[in-house]
Amino acid sequence: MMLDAVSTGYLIDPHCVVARPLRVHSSFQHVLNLTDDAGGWLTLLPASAHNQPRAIRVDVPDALDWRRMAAHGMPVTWFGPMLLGPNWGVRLHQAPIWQPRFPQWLASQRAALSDLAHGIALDLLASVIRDAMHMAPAPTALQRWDAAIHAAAPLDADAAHALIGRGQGLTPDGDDYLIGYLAALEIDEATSGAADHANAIRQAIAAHLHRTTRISGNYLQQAVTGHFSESIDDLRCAVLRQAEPVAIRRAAASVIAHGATSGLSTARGFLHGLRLFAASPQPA
Amino acid sequence: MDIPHRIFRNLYQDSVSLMQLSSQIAKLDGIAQASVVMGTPANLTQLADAGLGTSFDAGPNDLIIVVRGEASACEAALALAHERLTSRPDSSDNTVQAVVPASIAMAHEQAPDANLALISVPGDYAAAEAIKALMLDMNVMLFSDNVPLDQEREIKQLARRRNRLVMGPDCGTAIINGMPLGFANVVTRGAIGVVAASGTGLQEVTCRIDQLGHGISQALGTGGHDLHEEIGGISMLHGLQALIDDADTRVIVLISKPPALPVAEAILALAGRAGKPVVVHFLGADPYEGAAANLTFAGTLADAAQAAVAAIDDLSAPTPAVQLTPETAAMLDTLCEALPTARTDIRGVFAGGTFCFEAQLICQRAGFTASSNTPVTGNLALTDLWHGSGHTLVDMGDDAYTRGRPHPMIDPTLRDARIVDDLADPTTAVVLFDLVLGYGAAEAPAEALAQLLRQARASTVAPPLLVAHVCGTESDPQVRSHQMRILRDAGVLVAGCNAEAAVWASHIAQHQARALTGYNLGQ
Repeated sequence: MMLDAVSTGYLIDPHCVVARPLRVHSSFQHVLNLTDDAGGWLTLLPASAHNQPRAIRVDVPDALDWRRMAAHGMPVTWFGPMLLGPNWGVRLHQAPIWQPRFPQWLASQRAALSDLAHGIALDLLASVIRDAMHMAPAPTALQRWDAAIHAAAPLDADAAHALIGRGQGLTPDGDDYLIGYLAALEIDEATSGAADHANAIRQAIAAHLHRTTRISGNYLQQAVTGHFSESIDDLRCAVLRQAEPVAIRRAAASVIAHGATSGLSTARGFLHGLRLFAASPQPA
Repeated sequence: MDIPHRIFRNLYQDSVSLMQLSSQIAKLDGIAQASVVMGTPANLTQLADAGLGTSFDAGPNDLIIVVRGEASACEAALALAHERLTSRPDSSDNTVQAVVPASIAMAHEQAPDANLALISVPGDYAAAEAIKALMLDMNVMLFSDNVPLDQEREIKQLARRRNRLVMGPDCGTAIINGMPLGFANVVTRGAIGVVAASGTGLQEVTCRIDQLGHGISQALGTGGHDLHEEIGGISMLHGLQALIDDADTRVIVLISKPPALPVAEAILALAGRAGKPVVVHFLGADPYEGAAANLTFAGTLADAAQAAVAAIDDLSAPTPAVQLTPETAAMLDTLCEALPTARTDIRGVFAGGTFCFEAQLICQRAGFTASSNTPVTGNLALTDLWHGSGHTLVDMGDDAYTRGRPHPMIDPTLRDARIVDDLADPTTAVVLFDLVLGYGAAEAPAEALAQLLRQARASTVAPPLLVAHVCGTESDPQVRSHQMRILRDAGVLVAGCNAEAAVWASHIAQHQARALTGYNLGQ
């Protein structure tokens, strides 16, 4: 079966002709994780998913199930702009490369968010999260950090240590929370004293990636090095460019919609990070 | 209350499924508490804090299911979890079958709609397997070589009786309904059909058509012996008729070395009745008198592609594929100024047999008699397989070089070494070679060679010129322009097609001959 990629993440070289061989790490109905001997990671996502820095979005038929087609350990080969498994392949050569917009936005927005805009964003995020928590079970693993959100207290290394690998799901809630937190810190990092704190948290996370699942560790590793998903990129851009409230709500809802509780945990972490450096901390 | 648990090693289930499972277990009668988490240190601590256990032999990538409740309920809950987590998805029509068939018959049972068998077994067994496939009403692509001629005839006569196509023996290239088979390139689908008794000939023509912005309906290989008198062109005739009957094919291209005369007559007669344009290229053949009006005879592989495209575009005359412009000639002459007069020889090193054949013909027309392991009429047989002497053009894909070794398209090591050897020869003026891309070919053919070329040229005084062409497309895994760029960066003159490369090499040799003798050759 030959499939076509609809986009590739910017950390993937579609003309990679000197790549290490890959193997299937884990397969889900429409998602396939590949890894190489050096710990490299690559995910195949359905076209309906948001872009990721190390993912290829693939136009898969509804009936396709990677669990039937790609068993753990199955070798997968880079063959120029194609990924080839034993009985399937993905063509990349026509696929556009997704690039996040946030770095460009950050460079062009020299002035910090105005207090008002910052406050509006916080209100909107908090509102969207509250609505989501009414509708879905809240990750209990994160309850003890709710107070920190309320108080706009920064996480410390111990907190980061405790969050890694904590909670339910293949990407534990604590990891998702940290990803959202890091993503928000970058908004203020260039214009306030957030840089030292952000670096400290990154180092704390990077030192303990072994404490979580391989899959989640991959996403944490990306976050630590400044790489985030398309939905997070959209949210950051919406906040940074002081978009209309409906746009911020939509971007936040898009983040929350990811996974079972992953998105909600990510959004909560994002809210926490954003709250830290608001000039006027807003009530939750 | 019991608190049993179960650990599933390296089990990855999506979070939604895990949540559903957790919820389902927790609701079972007799279950007071259930936890479904990955065995991360943080979660193990949480389990301990929740009184669900302290000694789990699990790592972050293991799934732990812990339940607290009545013993029987816990057992049922864990059994349910095991069943949910370890059951495979339901089969459906597009599943990969778990049972690997051990015969053509078994495979046909599992895939009764399959109508093509691709057979690659040692030559001694190939005929029997091909016959089995034909008896199951399948067409055959026979990759196997070393099939005796009488067996080939038997297979093809059976195929003719059953109205089936046999591509081969020794057919390594085909494109069927857009699917490349064997050594083949990724080309656009279109309205030009090709039947070829030459693998690299088929590749060159289909790639050229793709480069010209058109596409291929079907590309059928016949194997190299099909047009011998003993075989009678059975496969080419069948393939030609199939393309005549195919509504999606508007122009047909036929490629072969010169067939036996009766075979050529039969093929041209059928082609003349095709009712659509047919481009014929029998490499090195004399012109055919009295051919039908819908036939166009091409002079090179690339010209065959040009003619096919011109026919599709309803142009009266195709653009010549190879034109040695004054500018190009001047450029080559300038480069030759750096060559010592002792450098006079053309050394051709080819992975594609047909490219070697075509290059010999072109160099011969330019006045050069060469030695080869596959000499064209008028050229000489090699006396030394491993070292060139005088003008030498070798087909490295021939049996002489591939016995016990992969074909140079797959593993170019021996080919690369031959190129380096020729570069070191003080009589070599130009090294001419091909790079064939596509499925089955080496992943990165230019990279390793480019490095060798740089090293060899750096250690050689006034090194020979390098001329090459890359047979492939932009859609090939290796990406044609990428390979061309690497070669150019390594100092190789990259021509647009095999014929052009041979013309350039001939021009260089002519320049050197003039410089040495004062005479013009071949003019």
